Amino acid sequence: MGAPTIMIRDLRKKFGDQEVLKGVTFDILAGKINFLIGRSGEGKTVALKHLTGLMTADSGEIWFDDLEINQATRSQLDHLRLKMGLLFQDGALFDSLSVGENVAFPLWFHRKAKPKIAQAKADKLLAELGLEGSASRRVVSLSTGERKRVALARALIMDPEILFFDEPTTGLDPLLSAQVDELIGQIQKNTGATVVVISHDIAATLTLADQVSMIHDGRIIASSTPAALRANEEPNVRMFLAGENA
Amino acid sequence: MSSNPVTKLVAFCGRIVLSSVFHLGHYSLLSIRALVLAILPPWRIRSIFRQMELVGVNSLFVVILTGLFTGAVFTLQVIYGFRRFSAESMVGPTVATAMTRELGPVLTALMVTGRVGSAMAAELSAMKVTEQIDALNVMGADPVKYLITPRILAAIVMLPLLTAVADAVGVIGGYLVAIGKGLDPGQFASRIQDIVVIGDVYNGLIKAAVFGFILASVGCYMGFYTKGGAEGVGHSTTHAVVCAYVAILVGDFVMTAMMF
Repeated sequence: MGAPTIMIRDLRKKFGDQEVLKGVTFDILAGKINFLIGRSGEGKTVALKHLTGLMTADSGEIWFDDLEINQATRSQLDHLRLKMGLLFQDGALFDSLSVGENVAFPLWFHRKAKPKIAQAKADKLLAELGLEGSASRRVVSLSTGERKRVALARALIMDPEILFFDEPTTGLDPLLSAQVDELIGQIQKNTGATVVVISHDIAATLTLADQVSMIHDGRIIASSTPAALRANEEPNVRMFLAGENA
Repeated sequence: MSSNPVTKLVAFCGRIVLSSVFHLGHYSLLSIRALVLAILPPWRIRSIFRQMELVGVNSLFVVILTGLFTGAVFTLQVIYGFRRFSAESMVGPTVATAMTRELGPVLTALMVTGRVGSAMAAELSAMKVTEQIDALNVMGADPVKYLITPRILAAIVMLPLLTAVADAVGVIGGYLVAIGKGLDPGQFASRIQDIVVIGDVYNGLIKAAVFGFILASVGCYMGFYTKGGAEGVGHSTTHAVVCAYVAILVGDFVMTAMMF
């Protein structure tokens, strides 16, 4: 089965009096690299948390093929999540586990592989991400870049059909940022997964994305190819692309 | 909004009541869910044993110290009082009854709450603020089953065992003090057998199991629903200890009224 198409329709979310999402509507293309961009505090991460079922919308719909996740049962959601991988902004690695255990955790938890096989797969992924021999290290000993790569290995170990990246290059130096961007491209190419990247990195967006959606003031103000986005005359899009404050 | 002080007071009280009902409801739902998940496979036996080690084995020393000195100081007070009525023969049974019915279960629970309940709250709240709990959710791993159920089960199993140790050590502490104070050793022990009934011990251990449930569930609840960053972790830990202490003491009163 191929990666599902994701449709977001009129998504709304309030925190107290503050309405963060004011009717977000856009599509995520299956088997493509989709960027959701916008300035800090515009609701990108909140939107991502809705997409992964970590938050429930006040109203609106999120469809993964024929499953609307706001109406999904816990077991339907868990089943869907087996197809997902999410790279958190700060990694969200488990401090109590070693690097190898962190990466192998999803396989171990779902009993998808025997411990030795799970560990071998974790070692292989770590090696592919330039962390060969790191399996026994503690999470606290990792640098920011290493944490991101370990978290990426964990997100990939279940061979997900949908991969979410929450600001994958935040806090990384330009060299590491470029490496991570390259990795995202490679992973999508090799796996054919649907990739959703939350970012405010304009260069990466215009280079990597197949489709870009821009969120501003709780609404999607543009959703197009990078080329079409460049030509977009909407003032907030122009200012964001020019790196100015809207 | 009215500036009338009475209205303000009513609104304030209303907010407190609503907040209390909200938290009590959430707490109850979380606890029931954790217990229901305990009987559903797959069972995380290794996680449960790991938590049993943290709750039980690692608390043993502090529980022994608490039991020993509680038994000892209680005996000192009882000897002082009973000598006035020439009732020294009742010192042993009094100490044993107090330890098994009340002091053993309650003080063990309070000590373990301070040591383990706070640690549970701190660990879970740190996991919450660093998105580790979200990570579990996204991986399709139910955090209640993975994090909370083993902790509650471990506390329910280990608190009675720790209490049994505290009871025994407390009586030994009392015995040593009684001998030091010139009481007849045989009388101290034999009168315990005559007066203390097995129901005293059982009921104390049942109380301990309930206290174990309270300390773990409150600690986990506070940690699981932490908001904010490092400050939130601190608040959760403090609230977990205070709420668990209060719940244990109130629960002790209710259970004592029902059992004895």
